[in-house]
Amino acid sequence: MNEIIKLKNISYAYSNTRDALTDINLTINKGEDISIIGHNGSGKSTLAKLIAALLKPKSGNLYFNNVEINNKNTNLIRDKVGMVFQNPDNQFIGITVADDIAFGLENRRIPRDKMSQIIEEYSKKTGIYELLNKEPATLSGGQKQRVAITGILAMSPEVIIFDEALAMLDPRGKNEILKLIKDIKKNNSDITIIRITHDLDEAFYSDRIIVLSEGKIVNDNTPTEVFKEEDKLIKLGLDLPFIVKLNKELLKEGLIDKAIYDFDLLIEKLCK
Amino acid sequence: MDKYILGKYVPLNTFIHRLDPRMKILSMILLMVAIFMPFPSWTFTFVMSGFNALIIFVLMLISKVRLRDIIIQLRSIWFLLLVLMIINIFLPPNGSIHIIAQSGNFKLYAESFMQTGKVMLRLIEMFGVAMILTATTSPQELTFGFGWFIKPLKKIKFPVEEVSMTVSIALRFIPTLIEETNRIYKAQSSRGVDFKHGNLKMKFKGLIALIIPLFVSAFTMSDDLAFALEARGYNPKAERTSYRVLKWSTKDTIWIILITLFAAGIITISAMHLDLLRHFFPKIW
Ligand SMILES: Nc1ncnc2c1ncn2[C@@H]1O[C@H](COP(=O)(O)OP(=O)(O)OP(=O)(O)O)[C@@H](O)[C@H]1O
Ligand SMILES: [Mg+2]
Repeated sequence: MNEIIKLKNISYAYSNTRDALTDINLTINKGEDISIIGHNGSGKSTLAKLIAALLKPKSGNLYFNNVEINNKNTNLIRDKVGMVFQNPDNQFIGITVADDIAFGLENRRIPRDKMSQIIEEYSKKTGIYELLNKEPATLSGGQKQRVAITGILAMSPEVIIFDEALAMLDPRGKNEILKLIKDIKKNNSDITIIRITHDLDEAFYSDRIIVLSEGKIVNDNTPTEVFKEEDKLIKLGLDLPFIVKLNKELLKEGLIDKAIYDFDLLIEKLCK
Repeated sequence: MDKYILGKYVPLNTFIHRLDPRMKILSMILLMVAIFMPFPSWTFTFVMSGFNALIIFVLMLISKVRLRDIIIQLRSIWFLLLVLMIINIFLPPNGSIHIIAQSGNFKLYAESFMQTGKVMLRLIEMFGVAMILTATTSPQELTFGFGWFIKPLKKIKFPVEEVSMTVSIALRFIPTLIEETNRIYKAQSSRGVDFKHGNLKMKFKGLIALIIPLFVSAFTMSDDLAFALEARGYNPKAERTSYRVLKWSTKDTIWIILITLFAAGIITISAMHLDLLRHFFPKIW
């Protein structure tokens, strides 16, 4: 597999007294769907911002598509790594939906007529075409996140980072965005997804999970492996995903003989 | 909220709404100049003021700005007008001759009231013009329009685009901040902070309970925003293209010619220093 992002011995500190991240080594491959979990303040957002080159590491190196990123070539990352933040309002820059999607295109000096074309195309893809002239105050949280995602897709990114992008949404908005991410991945399997999340069920369905604690990577494995070590997770202030708990109980009760993590398949099996 | 804020945009689609913001800004300046032109006699001044008012009233009708809203604006400055009147009574305008009443040394001149009336009329007209502009032009269009006018300043290294961008982001976040203020207000009320009753000290405490969290939110917001701007490739120093463009049409040209002719007419009459009324209708006067 092709590696797209590589962090080598990266450390970061907001103040002199304590490192927010210490000696991070991480390789992310092209097309991976990867989750980063960890307790509050474990350094997840800091890690995301370092990957997106929004913060400059105190020490260590960042590589994107095998090119080392320094002060002069951050635009390599800027153009190809999109980031959706937690608060839907604070990242809505345009006065209307169309203006917001246009913002990134304007920054890349896309000519106006081409811009309109791109905005139309992508807003149709994400189902917000009807909202193009709306102002953010009239949109739901889910719709605003959809706009943020559209703005990123319009740049044809290689990596999208979701930093708790679902945390402030209601259940309906959450499901909508989860489905949208799934569709993005389905339409373009080359796209790399990084999810920072407190929702362990969301993390469970990604390809790989990175567990952070106190600014260090304490686990980096497949979801099934990560969630096998329940005691370790609880010590880190984490828990098991609902689907894993459910399977455990069912196995214990002897209702199934093998864990089934696909919800629909599990229900089918139980109904037999 | 039933408060009329001067400068509130009313999202309708009248003829004036559809005009170019640059033309509207220019027209506003021209009309303001016309409003403040001096004329040699009181009667003439009021006749000209009435003429201006008529034109502005027609524009108000087209743009659906109501006279009532303008009168409401005046409410906030009636006190100022009162002070002005008192000043005018005790320091009558130059050349006051019409004495209405006299007691001892003190003379009450009719001109004192005429002067106040003149200022009030001009203020109403000024508010009218300003409201026509802001009611028919969204804040974004306004920023855009003003941005266009200050473009030449780029030559002297004035950061035109950065200023426009800052203003437009500020405008974008005003509603969000108002929403946030309401949210904090409700949250603090539910925690028992009383904003409405109590003495000055308690009210002050209430204010602090509102302002501190608001500042915290505003800082988080600006922090988030800074990252969001950067993540989306914004570089204040770099050239960018623009999705919104201003479109000057023939309609705008025709309008600006009409308004210019009107203002030029008023200015010329004023510059003649001649009481045209007395000149043309000497019989009546
Ligand atoms: N702007 C900042 N200035 C100073 N310290 C900060 C700043 N942002 C984060 N920190 C500190 O750095 C550490 C890591 O923070 P970070 O935001 O990366 O954690 P996180 O895992 O994203 O937490 P959460 O789950 O709450 O979002 C924390 O101890 C935090 O207090
Ligand atoms: Mg975080």
